Amino acid sequence: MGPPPIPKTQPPMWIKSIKVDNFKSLVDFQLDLAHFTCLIGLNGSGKSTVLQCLDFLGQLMRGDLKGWLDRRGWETSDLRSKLKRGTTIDFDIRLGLNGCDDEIWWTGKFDTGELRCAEETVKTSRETLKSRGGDFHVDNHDNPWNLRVSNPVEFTYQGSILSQLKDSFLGASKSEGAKVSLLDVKTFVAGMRSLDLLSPESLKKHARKSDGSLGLGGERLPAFLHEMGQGRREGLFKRLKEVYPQLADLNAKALRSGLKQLEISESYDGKSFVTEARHINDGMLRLIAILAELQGDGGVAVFEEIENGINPELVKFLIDAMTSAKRQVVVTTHSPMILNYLTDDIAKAGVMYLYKTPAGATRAVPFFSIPSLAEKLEVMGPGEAFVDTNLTQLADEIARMPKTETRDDVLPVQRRRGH
Amino acid sequence: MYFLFSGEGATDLGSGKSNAAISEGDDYEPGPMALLADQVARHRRGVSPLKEKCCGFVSETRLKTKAKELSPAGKKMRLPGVDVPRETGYYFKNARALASLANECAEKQKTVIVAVLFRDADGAASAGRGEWEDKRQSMLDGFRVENFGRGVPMIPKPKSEAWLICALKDATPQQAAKLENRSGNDDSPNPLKQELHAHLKKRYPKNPAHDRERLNGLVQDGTIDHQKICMPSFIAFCDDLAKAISAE
Repeated sequence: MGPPPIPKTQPPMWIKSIKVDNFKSLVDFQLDLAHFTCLIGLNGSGKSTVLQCLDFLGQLMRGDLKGWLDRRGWETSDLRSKLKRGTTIDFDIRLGLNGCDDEIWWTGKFDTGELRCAEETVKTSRETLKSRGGDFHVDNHDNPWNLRVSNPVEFTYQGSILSQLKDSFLGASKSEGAKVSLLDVKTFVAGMRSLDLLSPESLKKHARKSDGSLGLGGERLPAFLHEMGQGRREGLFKRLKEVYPQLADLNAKALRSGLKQLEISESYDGKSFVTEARHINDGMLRLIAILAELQGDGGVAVFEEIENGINPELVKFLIDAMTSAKRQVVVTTHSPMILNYLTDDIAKAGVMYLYKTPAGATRAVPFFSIPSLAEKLEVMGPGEAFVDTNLTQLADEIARMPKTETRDDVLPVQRRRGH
Repeated sequence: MYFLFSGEGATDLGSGKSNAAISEGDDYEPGPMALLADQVARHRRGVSPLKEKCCGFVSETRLKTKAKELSPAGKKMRLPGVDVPRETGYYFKNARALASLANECAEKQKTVIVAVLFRDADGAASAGRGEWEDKRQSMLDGFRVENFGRGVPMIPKPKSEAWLICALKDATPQQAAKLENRSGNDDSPNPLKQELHAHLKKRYPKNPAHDRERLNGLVQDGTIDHQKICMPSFIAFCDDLAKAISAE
């Protein structure tokens, strides 16, 4: 019996790579992403920072950076790296599209004082939007005469200028053939949210509205489930029933107050009873939240320490759910068991090892491209190879690895200026 | 009695001419480590696997496939702990795989099998990490898990070049001990590979290549003799081999 083929499903759009400079410990940092990416590394290597950065990039497209900082309890100065000077955070995101080789990317310089992108470029199959110094314009690739100009920008905004431009201005979505519009890129990136603070306490709360997301800690789960529609909720229920056979119903009940309350119905020995969220076990709540998020429409589903609260019997189920999701998935883990349920192909493509340079900057390397790990993977499972390796001594070997070609010379990366 | 050899390449236990899972007879091209093993077996127990043609070579591909079969996804993980040090899994898994193949072979051939597994202590799969003794013990554990009692770890510390150098310079026990503490990394200062090259250059100034034929020739003409290798890692191998041959 061979390993399952990969990928089981292709997300319609995905992030191929991100390059970030000056976000916390991410200094001149680059990360290639697979459809399923699993970040591993020692404590303090920067795994959570990468997830926060993905959430930050998603927030740039959603606007309201101030609100985002407040919800995290961060100051503006917390965003910048302590390893270098400079007030901008530079980023470069390369996107992939199912069935199309078009180059789609978004680059920019986020001004941490103004909380908006001082410069940015979004290139899609159809058009390129450029914004700089209060100007922005869009070039239509199919019709070079169709140049839309707006100068100066007559509104204030936070994050990306796309966050405030009307959807109608950003073009129709990709129903017109396979070509991707600015709106498609905006929708995809804005849907990228990190559940890095998912907690049982938050998941047990009642919620009024979800606004299309579970909330930072999962506090909007009941409303999210209520709004997801009967069909999807049933799909979620069926999946849960695979591992909780006693489950008889999953309900997001609307209370008189307008709040939504999550409750489950279980059947034991012919007797059914209902349990509301605050009495549901933490592992099941997390699993409901993860499966609900995987069924969502957003860009990239991002989870921290995916193994938390998940008993070993559920690991295979969870891995199957994540690797067959129609969304790109990024997780962090310390669990060899999670890794050991990955096929070798998925592990080679998606397990990224994060570590810090002597100067304190985070770096990423495909774990199984490290020669000793590649050799180990030939005779053992990915999790076994991981747990057998003394990570504290791995830096020496990584330092001896030949440097791979950087993208700087092959892609029009927005170069840093002024620092 | 039949011997199974499994190593890393042509210049250790050798290689198979074809892609056969187990190469025998003329299909098996033994390397210098196989010749040394043969010397030891003859000297200590009076048997010569190579001369008597009672040996086979297990290809690395077959060994890896077997090792993977023994590690189905998500199951039977070998976790490090008090008795299981890190950086030993590679040795354990390879030993288990060879032991399993040896058991199959014994069943088929209705004979006693001695299996010799060669791996450098400081090779690619460990990259300078982990202890030699733990790695040797892990190989023994791997043989034992498969209920195979005649498994022989052949683990030069740090790598086979050190054993060859030890014989070539007829090292004293003190010099031999120092050799064992050298780095196996070819990029380290004064790498063993370079030192072996220098020794051969003295003998063969025009062509100092240390390929299989050259090294085999040096073992066959007695220049490299098992009795000149007084390194603890080699002595451990000799003792293990002798014990495996005469085991009940």
